[in-house]
Amino acid sequence: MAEPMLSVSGLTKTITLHILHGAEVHPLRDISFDLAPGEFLAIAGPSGAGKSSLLKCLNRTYLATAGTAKYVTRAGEVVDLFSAPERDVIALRRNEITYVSQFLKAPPRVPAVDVVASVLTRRGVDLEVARERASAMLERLGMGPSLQSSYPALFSGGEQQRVNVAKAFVDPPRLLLLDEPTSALDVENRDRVIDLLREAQAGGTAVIAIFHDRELIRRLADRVLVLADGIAREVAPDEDFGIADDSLADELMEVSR
Amino acid sequence: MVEPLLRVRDLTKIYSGKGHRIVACEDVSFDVYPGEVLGIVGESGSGKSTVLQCLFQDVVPTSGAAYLTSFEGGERNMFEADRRERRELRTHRMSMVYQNPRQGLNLMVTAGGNVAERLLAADWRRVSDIRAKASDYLVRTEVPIERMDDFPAFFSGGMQQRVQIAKALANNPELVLLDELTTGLDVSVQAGVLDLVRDIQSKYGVTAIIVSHDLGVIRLLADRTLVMKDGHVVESGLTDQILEDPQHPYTQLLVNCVTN
Repeated sequence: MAEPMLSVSGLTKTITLHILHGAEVHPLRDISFDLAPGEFLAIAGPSGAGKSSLLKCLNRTYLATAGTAKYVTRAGEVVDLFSAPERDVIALRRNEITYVSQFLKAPPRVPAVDVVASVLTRRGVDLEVARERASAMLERLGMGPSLQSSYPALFSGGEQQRVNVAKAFVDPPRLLLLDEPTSALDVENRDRVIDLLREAQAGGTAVIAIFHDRELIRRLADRVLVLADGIAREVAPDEDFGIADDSLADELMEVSR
Repeated sequence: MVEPLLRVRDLTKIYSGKGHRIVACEDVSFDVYPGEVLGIVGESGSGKSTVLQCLFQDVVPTSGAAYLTSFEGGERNMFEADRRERRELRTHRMSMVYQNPRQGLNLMVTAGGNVAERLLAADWRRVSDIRAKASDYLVRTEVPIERMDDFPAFFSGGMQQRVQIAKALANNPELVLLDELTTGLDVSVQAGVLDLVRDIQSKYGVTAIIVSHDLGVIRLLADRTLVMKDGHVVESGLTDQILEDPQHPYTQLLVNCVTN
C-alpha cells in the first residue's frame, strides 16, 4: 500500500450537553484507520452510529476529544487536523479538503452557479472562468441555465444535493469527505455522481464517504469501516456486515422491485 | 507563515466610580489575520462592543495592549499612541461602522460629503478626486448616485448604513470594525446590507471584526468567532465549529436558543 495521506489514531468524541445537566454522549470511541491517495473508504452503520460525527471531526466542525489525524499536505507537511491552528484548517479547507454535508448550506440569495463558482474563486480562479467551469459541472449533473441562475434555497432536496456535489467535483480536492452524497438522487443522477467520484479518484483524490446503499459500497469502496455504537471494525466491500438499517433498506429495495 | 494583522492582548476596561466597579471586558486576547473576518458574539452587556470601542480608541482601556502590524512594525502598543498617532490610526488604518448611524455619520452633511470628510481626514486634497472617489464608493455600496447630495438625516436606516459602509471603506483601511450593523433594520433591509458586506468582503478581501448578537450574521460573515459573556471570552473557534459543536455551557444555550 502507498504511504498513507491520512492516518487517524484513537479518535474519540464525547459531547457534554451542559444544557441537559451535563449529560454525555459518546459518538466515537478510539477509532483508527489509514487512507492512501486515491483510496475510497466507505463508512457504514446504523443511524446514530457516529458516521457523520467522524467526518465532522476530520473537517474540524467538531472538536475531537482525543486522538490524532495526521494529514500529509500537498506541500508534504504533516498536520494534525484535530489540533492544527484554525488558520491552517481554513487554508486546508479552501485548498485541499472538502466536506460535503448531507444537506446543502448555501448562503442565501446567491445563484447556484455562483455557489459552485465560489469554490474556485476562493482558490484564486478568475470569476468568469470559475462561472464557466461551475456551469459546466452543474450541466453535467443535469441542471440547466434556468436552475443555475436561481437560488438553491428554492430547490428540491435532490437539486440542492446536486449543487452540493458540484461544489465537491468542480475542482476535486485531495481529500473528499462525503456525507450520503446520493441519498436524494434518482438512479440517473446517482450514476453521474459515481462517474465523477471515479474520475476524481483517478486524479488522486482520496475519499471518505458515508453510504447507506450497499450496492454503491460494493461498486465504489476499496475498504469499508462499519460503525456501531461509536466503535469501528473494518470489512471488505463485498462482505456481509449485517447492519439492521441496511437490511431494512435492502428489504425495501426488494419490495420496490 | 502569515503574520496576524492585529494582536490584542489582555484588553480590559473597567468602569469604576464611588463604590461601584463595572467590568465591561477583561483579559480579552485574540489575533486577526489579513483577509479574515472575525466574529464576536454575545448578549447585550457581554462587552463585545467595548472591545471594538477600545480598538477604535473611542474608549480608553484600563489595561491591555493591541498591536497593529503596520503601526511601528507591530512592536508598539497602539493604546500608548499620542494624539496625533491616534488620529492617524483612526483616519488611515482603521474604520468603524457604528450600530447607530448618528455616531458614524454627520446627518446634516450630504452623503457624498460624509465620505469626503473621511478622505479629507486621510489627507486627500483635490476636490475632483475626492468627489470621484466618494461617488465610486457610494455606487459600490448601492447608494443611488442621485442621492449623493442629499442629507442622510432623510435616508432610511438601511440607506444610512450603506453610507456608513461607503465612508468606512473609502480610503482602504487595513481593518474595518463593524458594530451590530444590521440591528434595528427590518429583515429585508438586513438581508440587503449583509449581502453588500459579504459581496465587498469576497471581492476586496477586507479584514474585519464584526460584532453581533445575531448568530445568523456571524454564520454568514465570520471565518472565526469569539463568544463573550460577562466581559470575558468564554470560547473561540472556527465559526461552524462554534455553531455545531459548542463547548461552553453559555454557547450551547445561545446556539440552542436560535435553532429551537
